[in-house]
Amino acid sequence: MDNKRRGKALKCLCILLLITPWLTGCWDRTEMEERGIILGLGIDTAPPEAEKHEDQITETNDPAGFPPPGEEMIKVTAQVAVPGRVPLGPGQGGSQGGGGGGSQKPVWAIQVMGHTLEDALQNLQQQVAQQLYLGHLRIVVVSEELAKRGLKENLDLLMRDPEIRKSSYLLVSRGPASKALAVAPPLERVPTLYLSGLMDHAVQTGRFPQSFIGNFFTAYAAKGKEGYLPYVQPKGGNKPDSEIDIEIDGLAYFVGDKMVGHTEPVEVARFMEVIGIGAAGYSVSVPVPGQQGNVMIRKTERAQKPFVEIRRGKPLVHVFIHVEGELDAKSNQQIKINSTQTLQSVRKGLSRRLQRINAQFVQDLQKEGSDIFGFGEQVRAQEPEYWNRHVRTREKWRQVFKNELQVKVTVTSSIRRTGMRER
Amino acid sequence: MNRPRRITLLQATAVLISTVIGVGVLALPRFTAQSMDTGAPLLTLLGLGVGFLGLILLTLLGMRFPQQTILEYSEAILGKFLGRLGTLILVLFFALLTALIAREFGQVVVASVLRKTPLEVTVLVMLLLAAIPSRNGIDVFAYIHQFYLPFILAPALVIVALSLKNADPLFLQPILGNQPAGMFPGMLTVAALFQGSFVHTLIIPSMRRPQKAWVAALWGLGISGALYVVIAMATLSVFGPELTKQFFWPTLELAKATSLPGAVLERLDAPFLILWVMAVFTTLLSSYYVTAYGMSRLFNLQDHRLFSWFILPFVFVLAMLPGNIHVLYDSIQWVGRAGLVPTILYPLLLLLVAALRGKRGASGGQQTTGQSS
Repeated sequence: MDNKRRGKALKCLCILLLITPWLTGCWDRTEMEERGIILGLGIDTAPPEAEKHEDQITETNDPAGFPPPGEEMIKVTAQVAVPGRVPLGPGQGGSQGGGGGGSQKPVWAIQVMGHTLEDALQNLQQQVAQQLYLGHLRIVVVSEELAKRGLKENLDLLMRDPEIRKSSYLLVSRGPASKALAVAPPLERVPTLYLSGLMDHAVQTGRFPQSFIGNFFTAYAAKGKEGYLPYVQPKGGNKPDSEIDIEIDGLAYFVGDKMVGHTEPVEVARFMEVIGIGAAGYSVSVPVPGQQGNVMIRKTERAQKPFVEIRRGKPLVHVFIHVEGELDAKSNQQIKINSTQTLQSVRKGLSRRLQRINAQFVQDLQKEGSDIFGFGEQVRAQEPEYWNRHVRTREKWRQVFKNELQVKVTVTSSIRRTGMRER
Repeated sequence: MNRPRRITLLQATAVLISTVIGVGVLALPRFTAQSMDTGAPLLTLLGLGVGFLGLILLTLLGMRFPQQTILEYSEAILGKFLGRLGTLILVLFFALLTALIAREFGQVVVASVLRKTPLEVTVLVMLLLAAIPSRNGIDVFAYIHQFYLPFILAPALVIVALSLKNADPLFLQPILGNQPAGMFPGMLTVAALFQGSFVHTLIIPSMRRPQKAWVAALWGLGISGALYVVIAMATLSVFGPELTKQFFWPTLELAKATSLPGAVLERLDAPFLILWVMAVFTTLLSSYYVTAYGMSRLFNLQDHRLFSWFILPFVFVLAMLPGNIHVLYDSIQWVGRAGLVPTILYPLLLLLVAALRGKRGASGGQQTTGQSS
């Protein structure tokens, strides 16, 4: 009897001992206020003399280190969220409401030098009390100068780090990236949230194709495709007190990890047309046959179908595009759009014009050798025999794209509505 | 031994599905893309075919000996010594498989979420979690699988459906792949993912109607195989073959790149990982159960409970052996391919010999272990 009870007690004790390890909580627990949440990063080139001022924090000045000395350095601007100041919604009162005045900024911008992004972030950690956390990173802005030098070293961290989300934005800015990050619009309290909102809405309204970091990685890794990124331009801010505003100023196109140029904003529409993105946001002006003046056609929807064939040993891509539009405005009151015939001729003019400018746009990029359209992927997918025999590598495809590829663009269109005016 | 015949067809199917879907889901797109680039879904399908072959053999054997598991009728077919040897090899293989599953799980967790938690802790906790329920009988085992089934299937399907927004069908063409580097080894590696279905042999003798075992096999492997193919297609069409090759766990990246509409959840990797833990748990439970059960057969004991605890330290040490992630994946590939011998060729041998010697188990009724030679 007694023995049995003792055995039972022993059993209980064992179970209790087994349970205790589970009561200790999470091993990786980090309190919110111990985290330095980085919301945005700006990467610029650094002046050559920066290296002399560098403190020995990482193993980068060692001859055998990474990267070897002599490489140009970068300047990283990090926006760290200040705990308690990042508003959770628009309803928390204006920024001027607080008593702190100028010090009430929701983010802290801090600059640091480094050889690569990883190196710079380690240097940054040396200056910041909290443990840096990249899980909420929304925006990475890279200056044009750096993008033209190549992004390879900096992309690696963005791809490798498990905290970074693939749906953050990577932007190329004309001028310093630190300035683009300092944008201070009155519409949103956190600058980086405004920037990512700007891009989100541009994608929704058809002003820009979706271009998350993840999309860039996919194009960068694919053999028959080059990456592109939004090209933004910070405006204002020349006087010390003026606010900085930002504009989507086109599309930066790449060859590999190096930016080779950028388009005009209106050319983004042509790009979206050629790759066939449904949401259409730009308008186009068409002369009215037989009358003086132009009408503006706002595109509402589009569809695209590519078709690849090999003609005399060279790839030929047919791109069939259909655009739906809506008459938006006319340039003067004399123009009369009041008959089916007129509308028909405007429609034909629209198709012809779109066909011409889109084909021109493709040719321009062929000259630059940047296949952001992914025609190479079309060829690889639809004509694997040709690809396997003649292309195989991305370097070879760049040559083919530049010198041999023919692209035929065919545009059809329909104009469905003319707004509220009868004529 | 008298076995209660209580496992329904649905439960048998659930055991197969949730056993097959496991750690492999995360890395599958990578090594299929490495072997056949855009042909990854096709390769998955081929691998499924090979895995299916093994299960069919096992089911045929199970229906021939509806009272016994492979660990018992092998002795009746091959004789005591050779049968025991086969059991020993199977037990060793499944111990190794259990260890590798636990280790791969720990590796993913330590690399992506709990970066400060020691690997040993995650692996040990997971093994403990498998060891405790493996002490139960086969019906509890089947109930556990049935319970977790929806949690395993649903998240994978949700992520696949939501990721279609970013998908580019071009990345799935040509379906044969541009430069199929290693179709045959790739096929074997995929087939190795279906090795967990071996647990079917333990289920058949307890099924209410063992004659229906093939229905469970068909549905079980069909559904889990379809899920694998769909995941390979989704990952490939979002990232393209070249990027898929560069990620350790492309499916996890897919979850990371996928967001619930309406900005409810901007990345799905956290919920996906939580539910994936369940998938790993059921897989681990099955292979652990097979190992413990096999040990009890090896020593001719009626009860496998003793071995649930006994094998734990061995499996843990095995799990800790690979030095880094590349060694781990190399061993997973090699163990997986080598494992096709005990899981496919061995049943084939048994079936041939059984047919030649005209051996057949008692069907139905209250028979005991029967005619071991």
